[in-house]
Amino acid sequence: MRSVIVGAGIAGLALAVELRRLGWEAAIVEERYPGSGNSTRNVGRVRRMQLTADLTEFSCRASDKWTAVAELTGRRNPLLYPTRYVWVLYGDDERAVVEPLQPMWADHGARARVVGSDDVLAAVPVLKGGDVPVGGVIGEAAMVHHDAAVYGYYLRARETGVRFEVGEAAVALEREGGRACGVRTASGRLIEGDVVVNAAGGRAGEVARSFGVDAPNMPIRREVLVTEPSRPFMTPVVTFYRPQEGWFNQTLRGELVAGVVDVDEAPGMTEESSVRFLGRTARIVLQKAPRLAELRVVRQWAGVYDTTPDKRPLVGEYPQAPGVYALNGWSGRGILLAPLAAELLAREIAGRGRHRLLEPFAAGRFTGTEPRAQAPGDYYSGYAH
Amino acid sequence: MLACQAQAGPQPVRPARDLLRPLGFGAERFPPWFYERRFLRPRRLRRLPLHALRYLSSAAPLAPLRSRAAPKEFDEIEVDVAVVGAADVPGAFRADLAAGALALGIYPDRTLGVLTGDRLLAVRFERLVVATGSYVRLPPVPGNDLPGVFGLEAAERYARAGALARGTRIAAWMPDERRPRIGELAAAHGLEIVWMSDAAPRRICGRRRVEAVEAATGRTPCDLFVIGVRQPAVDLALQGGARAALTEGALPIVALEEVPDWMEVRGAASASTSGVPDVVAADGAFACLCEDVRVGDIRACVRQGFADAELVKRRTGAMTGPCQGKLCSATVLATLREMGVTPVPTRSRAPARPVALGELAADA
Repeated sequence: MRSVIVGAGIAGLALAVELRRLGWEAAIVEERYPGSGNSTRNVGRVRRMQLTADLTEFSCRASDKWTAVAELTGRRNPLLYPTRYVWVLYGDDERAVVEPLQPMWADHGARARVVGSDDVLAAVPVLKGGDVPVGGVIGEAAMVHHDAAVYGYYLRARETGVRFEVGEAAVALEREGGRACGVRTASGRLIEGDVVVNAAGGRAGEVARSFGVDAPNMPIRREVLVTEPSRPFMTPVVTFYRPQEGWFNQTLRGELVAGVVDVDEAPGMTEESSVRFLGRTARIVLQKAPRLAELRVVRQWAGVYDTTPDKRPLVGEYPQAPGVYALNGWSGRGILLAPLAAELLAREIAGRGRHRLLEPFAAGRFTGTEPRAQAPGDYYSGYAH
Repeated sequence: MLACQAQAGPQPVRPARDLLRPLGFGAERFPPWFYERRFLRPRRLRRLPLHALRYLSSAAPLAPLRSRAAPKEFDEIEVDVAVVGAADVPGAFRADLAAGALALGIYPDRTLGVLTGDRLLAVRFERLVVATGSYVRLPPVPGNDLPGVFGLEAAERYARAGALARGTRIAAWMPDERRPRIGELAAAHGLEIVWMSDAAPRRICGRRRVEAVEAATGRTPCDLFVIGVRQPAVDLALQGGARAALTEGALPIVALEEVPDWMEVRGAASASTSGVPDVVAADGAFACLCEDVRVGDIRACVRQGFADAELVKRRTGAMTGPCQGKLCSATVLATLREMGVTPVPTRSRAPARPVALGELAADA
């Protein structure tokens, strides 16, 4: 049996590797280059605790799956290293949201707990001298070097005989008797397959619509800056949501990567940066961690979160298009979730049934009338239901 | 070998044997940061080396870092003509580093990001004049990383600051039109030019610093290797949508081919040839000094299947360091072309040069 996968990001590559393990053939259609798009525009955080039970359970299993990725890709080192995730709370309302979640985290093995201000400062000394947090959540997490991981999958896919069509954009779906039988590319070629998978990351919505599927994916820009490398000064990764969503951490190479979102960010597919972002991120990060003032920014860039109305991915067959599968809508969790989701979807495609963990992620769960619950800039309200 | 190619598992570690090591013995018993702050980098002295470097290179003095109480103002302004660099355009808005205004980058909708001493600006313009000048073109020969490999402009500044002793022996790699300039420099400061050619040497020799150059004509002992060959500074123009390509014929450089109709590129940034003969890059030559990548690493990477400049960049780390490819992109792209890959320059992004977070913080 043959599959055609649109997109050679981590999701598409992981799915190709998993399908080959089950004896399927795989061809990947990639418009730019393998790993382009959001697979290279992220910071590779693998965190266990989430705001809802279904996401937490999946994230914990997905984190465990990451420890098997090196073996799965032919002992190629994805530079996965364990660390702590520090979710710094600056508002009492935030504490009220996360405190009741602790039993749920304990049930699923998220290994996270709510701590006081002193514990946060002890875990992240670089926050001393800045705004005083009211507390935080410290959870077990890992970081992965996204490019190393993506290229591990890429090399494994090549050596197991996955066909790559790089520089080809998928523009239309080909059908035969109502079922998908391949994709047509911009150059007019037909890439044949018994199933077609949409793993196009930030462009997944576009691709789905070009296939005649009304998908709820909505890309929204996220900007990042990176500084020159310096001595190791922090090992945990930091996220905060007040006054607005932001995060920073130090990479293995010693660079600080950071970003603070624009509360008025308009949805849309763009990978352009902005000058406001530099001023805003520097100001808010330095409010929290004034000691970072002397680090020099060398580059800024942007990617997108491919979001869905309930911020959960789409994994499974589109009901409107038999033979076409979704593996997208990561809503900012692509690196974390993709390896496990790819494994489970590959089993489903190969006829081994739908896994229980994929239940909340059905591709046909939206009717197109769902409100996007999130108030501008408020992370927590996006998970209220 | 790249870090990601290492097998998972313990790596052999050899203890460092430097002179500072005894100082570190007590470090673990001190509170966090104590050792670094009191011994390694006392706060008062922390910026001293930067001030000294700025002074030596006759750059504008270092702006004082903002405290958290005073972020800069953010402004959006509209102008007819904006100029980046020293080009003389009457009545234009000018972002010239020598005057303390740094052009950060070109953003969508004809917007120039500019950082001054007290403001962060988004400058909307109708027309843009880019005069960003040029960088050194690093020769792709072994030994190109040795202390003593200098750009011509840097050598001139050092000489003016009295940092080059009389009698210093200079090997100069110059296109013909720049030979008078190094001649004048040598005459004015009593330097001795022992080797000069427009063809790159086979190798630059030495153990801890430049000791000799080895060319087809033989080995010539020297103290400095001065580079007069230039790579035009095209990064900013690329951010605005200009198209650049690797030149052919002479030693390749990344040169602009086409710019948007609202952009004008003047001076050294618009150069279209290096003016010196091509050489075959040596495996042992450094392509990227910031991230420690040699020409041989790039060839190995392409042979593994990473046949695209963007892939090579992410696989090896070349072009991702503090210089963001200013010194290395020509060598990397030339190596790709030699391996049969179409050399497309990687995406250029702001800021144009490293800027401290403390200088950027603004009410934006």
